[in-house]
Amino acid sequence: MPDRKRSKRLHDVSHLFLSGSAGADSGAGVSFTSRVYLCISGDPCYRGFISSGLSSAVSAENIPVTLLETGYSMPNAGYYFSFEPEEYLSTTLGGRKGFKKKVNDYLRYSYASRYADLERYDDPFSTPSALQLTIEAFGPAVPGGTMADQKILADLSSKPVKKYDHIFSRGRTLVIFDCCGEDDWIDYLCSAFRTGSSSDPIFVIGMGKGNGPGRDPSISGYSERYLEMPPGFMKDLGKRIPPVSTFMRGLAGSITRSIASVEKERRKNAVI
Amino acid sequence: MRSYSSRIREAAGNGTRIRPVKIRDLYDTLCDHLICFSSGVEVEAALFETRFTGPGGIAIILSPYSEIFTVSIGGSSRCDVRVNDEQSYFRALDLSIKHLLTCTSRVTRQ
Repeated sequence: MPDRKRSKRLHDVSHLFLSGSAGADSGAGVSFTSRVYLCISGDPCYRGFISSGLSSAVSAENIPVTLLETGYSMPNAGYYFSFEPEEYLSTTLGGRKGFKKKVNDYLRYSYASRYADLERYDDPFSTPSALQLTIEAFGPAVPGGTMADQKILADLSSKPVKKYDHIFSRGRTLVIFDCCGEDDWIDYLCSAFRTGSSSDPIFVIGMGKGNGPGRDPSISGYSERYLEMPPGFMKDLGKRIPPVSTFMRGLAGSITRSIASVEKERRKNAVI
Repeated sequence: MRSYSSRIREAAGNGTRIRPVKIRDLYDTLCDHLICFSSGVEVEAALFETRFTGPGGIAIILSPYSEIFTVSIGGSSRCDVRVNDEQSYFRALDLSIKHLLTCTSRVTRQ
């Protein structure tokens, strides 16, 4: 009986997809980091759930991920990574501004209430990969508010530094989980992002028309990719495991494919 | 729906009967994080306790005493945590978050 051939996953082929004939100047064959801004609008209780799920779904594809989470309210993603309460809640008592911890070989995590207090990772991942992701997850900066931390907004709207971006970090993606339907804030984030990156992809994930709060997809003129959260998406909100559902794996795949596609185009243009 | 500041003011009012400053701070911090969890969490300060309620059956009661405070989590099958140090505070907040998330997942349509 012949063996059934397992279809290749993204990490099996990404090195081929990202190689090609581009010259040394374009950075072909060199691993690079791409940055994903993950904004969770609405009640802050969804931030840890969604950020842990997306980062776990990407890292499950053997793509190294650094998750940087900012937000005052609890729980953070540490709850879903099953950290001890003394650890993931440590910042609530004011003694520590933030903490960082490696979740596994492909996922490392840092959390702080304020963006400026995030403890960064200076060292690269030890696991070889053509693509690495830095996911910057954030929600409203103040309790009951809608606006994000001013520092992350400034970062979001800044133009990528050419040298930095071309040598190590390239490409930016904005992913918005719209859990409240506050169109003004989402419009603001998109236009801020477009100030710095005119062509980089934006994903908007909403609750869909007729499904309670959420943006009506028919009016999302700016969003290149609009996806709807599937029914039952939040049912595991209380469980202490990252929600790596079929939907989340699909979204992770779409984001990494989109980044790879933009990078391939960039290298092609560099050759021409 | 009341504002964040009015809810926190009401919740913190009962905590003044806790004498040790350190325990009172833990009480205030716990109230703050319960309120911050969601705009749907409502606060009601009674004579000897502060109740946090909300959709999906959210029911958390904080009862301040002179030296400690207790946290009762859940409705019919509730568990009580006595908070007199940081370790018990972490346990109380962790169990409260678990309860809040479970209740929220019941009412979230997605």
